[in-house]
Amino acid sequence: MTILAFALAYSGFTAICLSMDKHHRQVWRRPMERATANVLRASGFVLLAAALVVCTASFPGSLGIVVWLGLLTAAGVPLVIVLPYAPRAAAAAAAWAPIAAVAFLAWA
Amino acid sequence: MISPEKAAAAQHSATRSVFRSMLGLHAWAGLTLGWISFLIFLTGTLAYFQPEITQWMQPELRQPPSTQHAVAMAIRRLTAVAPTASEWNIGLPGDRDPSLAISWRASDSDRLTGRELLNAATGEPVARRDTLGGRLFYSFHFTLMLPGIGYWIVGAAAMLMLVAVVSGLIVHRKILSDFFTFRPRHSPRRASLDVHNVTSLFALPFHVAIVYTGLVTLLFSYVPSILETAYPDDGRSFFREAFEPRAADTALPAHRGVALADLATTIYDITAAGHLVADLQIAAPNTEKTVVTIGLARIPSPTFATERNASAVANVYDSLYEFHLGRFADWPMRWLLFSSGLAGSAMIATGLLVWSLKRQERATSSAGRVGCFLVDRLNVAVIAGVMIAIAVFFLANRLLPLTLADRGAWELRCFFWSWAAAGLHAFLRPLRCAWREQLWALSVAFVAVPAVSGITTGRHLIVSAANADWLFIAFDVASLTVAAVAGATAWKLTRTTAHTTTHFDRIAAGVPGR
Repeated sequence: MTILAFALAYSGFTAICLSMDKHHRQVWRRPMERATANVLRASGFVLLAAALVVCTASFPGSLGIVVWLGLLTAAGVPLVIVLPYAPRAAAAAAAWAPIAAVAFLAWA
Repeated sequence: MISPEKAAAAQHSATRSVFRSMLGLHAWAGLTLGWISFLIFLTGTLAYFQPEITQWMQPELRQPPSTQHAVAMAIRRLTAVAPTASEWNIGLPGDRDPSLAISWRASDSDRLTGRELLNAATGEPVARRDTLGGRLFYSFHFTLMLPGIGYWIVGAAAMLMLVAVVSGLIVHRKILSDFFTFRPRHSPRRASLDVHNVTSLFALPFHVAIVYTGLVTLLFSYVPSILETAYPDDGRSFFREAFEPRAADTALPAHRGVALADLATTIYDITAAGHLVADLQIAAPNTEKTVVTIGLARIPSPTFATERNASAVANVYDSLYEFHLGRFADWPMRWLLFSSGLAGSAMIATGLLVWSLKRQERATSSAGRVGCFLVDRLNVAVIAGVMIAIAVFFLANRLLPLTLADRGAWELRCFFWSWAAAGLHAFLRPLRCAWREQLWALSVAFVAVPAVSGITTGRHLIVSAANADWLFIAFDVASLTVAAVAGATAWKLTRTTAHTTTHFDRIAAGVPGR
């Protein structure tokens, strides 16, 4: 389940990141609609919250929060480092990560 | 009466002055013991894998495929060397310790008559090499290898670190809009500052929690007077009162009187029930009356201490202490702690670099130049130097003759001498050359670590991959990653010097700007 929470955290951060104009331009090289930004930001926070739910459900007590915070670090830093080098790949990974995580959990 | 413009201006200048003083506080709190903090963070991060590093440094020992296999190997060896003994003892490998120890007692003796250490995979007796192993990082982390005074320096560094974390949050003005910003193609100073911000912010909860709990682990050493006043016996009775239930709770009941025929199934049941078999005592082996006693150990489970102790104080202390040591952590969690630790090390390293790059632009007075010279060179000596020394420590483990007396101490000497050499080099060469040459050396050294290890032990990456030997795979891949990052940085430094002489090159070359 940790891998799913990690994927959700990564997608969440990417969505929040791409809701900011300068990062949106980094990936798509054009400005975005106000509505798109709002949807991206809202879904980003929902995804981060979903990661927290997964963590608290799979670890006893306050440990879930500790794991969640650790996953936020592990997901956020690579995103920021990779973004300027491969913006499209970083964005695409955010779309595929949760699907891949669910597929992996179903297979394992 | 003050006009609204004046009030606004006064307000603005007050905010500016708070900002400026916080910036000064952040720079000096971060700088003063910054190199020490970097060393503490780096060695602490490695210490999350202390037993694993020790395992890598004792390649003679192997993890068995299963507990049953280890028991079978031990019994085979005991049958060969001590068939007539009145008692056999088998100490089985743990979760993070591969040593399989056997000992036996002859029928006419009441003491142990022989003992051996076995390779748990093959059952062959082995001589374990004398090495410091991962203990180097664990001890360095909180003593700096300076007995008596080291932990006071570590405590001071931790306090300054907390100050730097809080003041750093205040001085980061564009905290939200720069949250995801990293500009590697801008100036080195910009890029370093971005990495500093990102690694600080994303791992902020870890930094605060780890530094604070770090101070708590040494609480009784830092403020001993309260204990000494209330408990005249050096606080021994205090520890008994406060933490006694811990010991009683960790012991699990042994399985007694198991017949040899039922051994395999009993071990299977114990493992299935979520415990580890720690040791076996086999009385009257090779006879009709053979009886086995099975000692158990608990598998470390991902929980905090909260339900273990009677006392709330002990619970709080244990939780903070065990968080700091990552004792609750299973594998994914251990890697998370490790990566947060790396983020913390990167935060301090880039923070020191930013200080250096920023001051180089402005240094005009000679006093400023001496300070900048020191900071610049200490950055190379500490950041690149200690990593070279760590690589040399690993290489020494593989290359020093196995029969060398005091081998562990020699490894440590190699570590400190190579570090001293790197430090000297950092002060003697022009700044940019010092960085470039040390980064190349670092890269080469960490390519050499898996190469030399593969040649001397035969456990190279292909063999490890074929055997799913995850510990050796992880160690080799981690070494090569360090080599790649160091090599890429060195290459970038080499290339930019060759093509252009920008303002920043002049700065990095040690020439004061303007």
